[in-house]
Amino acid sequence: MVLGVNSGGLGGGETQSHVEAFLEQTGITFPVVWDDGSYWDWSWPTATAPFPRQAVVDRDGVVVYLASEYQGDALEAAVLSVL
Amino acid sequence: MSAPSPTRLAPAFVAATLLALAGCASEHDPGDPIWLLDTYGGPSFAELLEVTVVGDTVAFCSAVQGLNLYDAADPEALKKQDSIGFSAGSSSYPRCQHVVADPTGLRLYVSSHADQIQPVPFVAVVDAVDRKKISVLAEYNFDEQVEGLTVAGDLLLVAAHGDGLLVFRRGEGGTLDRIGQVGGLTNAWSVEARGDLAYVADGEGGLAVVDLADPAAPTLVTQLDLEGTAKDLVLRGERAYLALGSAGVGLVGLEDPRAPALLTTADTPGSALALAVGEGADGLYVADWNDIRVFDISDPDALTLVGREPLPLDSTVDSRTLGIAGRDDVIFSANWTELVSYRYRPGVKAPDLVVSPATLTLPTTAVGEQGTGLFTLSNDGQAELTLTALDHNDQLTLDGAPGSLAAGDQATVVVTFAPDNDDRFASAVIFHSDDPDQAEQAIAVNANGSGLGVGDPIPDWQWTTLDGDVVRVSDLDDSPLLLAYFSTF
Repeated sequence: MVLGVNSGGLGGGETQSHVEAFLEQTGITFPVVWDDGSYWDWSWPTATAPFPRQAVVDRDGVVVYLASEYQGDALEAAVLSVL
Repeated sequence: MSAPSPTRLAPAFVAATLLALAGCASEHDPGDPIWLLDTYGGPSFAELLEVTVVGDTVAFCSAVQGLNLYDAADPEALKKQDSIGFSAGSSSYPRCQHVVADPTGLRLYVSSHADQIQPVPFVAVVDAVDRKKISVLAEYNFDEQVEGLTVAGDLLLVAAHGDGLLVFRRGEGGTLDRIGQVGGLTNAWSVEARGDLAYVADGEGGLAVVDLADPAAPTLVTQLDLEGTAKDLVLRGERAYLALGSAGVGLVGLEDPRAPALLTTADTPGSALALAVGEGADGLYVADWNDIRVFDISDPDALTLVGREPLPLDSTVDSRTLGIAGRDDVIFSANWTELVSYRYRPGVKAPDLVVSPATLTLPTTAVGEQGTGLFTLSNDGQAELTLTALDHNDQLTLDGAPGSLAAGDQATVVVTFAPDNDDRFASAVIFHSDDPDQAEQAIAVNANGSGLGVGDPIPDWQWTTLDGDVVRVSDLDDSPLLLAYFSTF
């Protein structure tokens, strides 16, 4: 499954209405949660801009992919490798 | 062809080389079809968005610095003309998101949707008679999430996501009178007009056609389903070119203007969010998040990839390009911190090496164990690529690197990590090739960093849903999980 994790925006100031407007604007239909701290546990490959970032976890709960920004082909390959 | 022979490098040398290569990633080479001309910006800029050409001027929007105009008569020496912010909704930042000019170039229209930075969606009208002294004529706030816009005769058309397309009459003095709206669209991101028809990049809905013969009562003519998410489009002759996000670029025939037909698509490795045509150069320029890409469109029935140019930032800074414009053979790209100009020289064919991922994170690996990762090498150019050497730390072994790659081909390189110590591993692999503007490409390779990494089990985190419920990792089903960390701005 896909889970969107909102990591707070600039200075952590994002609100319910910001996120609801964003979901409407982007057409995102997968579930979205507020990040309660998981972001800071990751060893992100680079750490300049905090989002967007993606992690892929396999059926055994093991992390197989971790990336900053968006590299569509690499992300697609990682997702296909765990399906 | 024999595989290139690896040489061994000390980590300090690798780190120094990463920085040195980053500074000269894009020097002009006469054998390269695309090269960097100039950059304007720096750390004080932030999140450049749509960019457009207005005669000798380039206008672009920034998420936090409003509308900016630069003199680009000489694209090798961009000069600031003026900038202006907008007060709509008492934003704490003078944002704009999209900008278009009327046919005279004397009046500009900008828009922004609402998010954390901009509390109220707005459209503003800007007087640009004197490009060194622009002024806001009017601002209009909306309940709808307004996005891309275009001028169509005396009309202004504004894409409004799920609320469809808004139609305004452009009045003297910068007034806008809202006269019509068409619903039934899926998720309107961007719009272009021709004659009495408007073509809408309609997100998951593909390409929508709207009849504006009666602008007060516009009607939806048809929708063409497309792969991906249609976010931008440009019209040229009997063709529409669409940016389809992760699905790349779409080419649509408009022989029957009211019944568009898909001709072909070209996948891109990043996310195609914006595109532009360089008219005199027969070039289609695409902002693909991680780089800019040029397609030869001299054949109206084909999308022929010429090559790509990376963003001219050092590799320690994340960036992205979200806006692109073309003036014949000159390309303007708006990335995270810079306005950048490039030149495209049609007819020049060169190899173009792309290494994915841009940063390789290897599994957490102890001394005595081995961890593996993969690189994909692609030749996104139009001539054969020769890989001459690979440099890397001696705790890494690389298998599968080809000696050459034909145009359009890919190869997979397996990286095996056998650490000789428990320290954090931060190194680089350097690919040497005959790519004319990136003869040496250094890709960062990391492992055993602090915190959770590849190969580690995911903790039983808990998060709060938008409804206020608590969900734990262990509550989720046993299917694979993709976590997408995001922000709305």
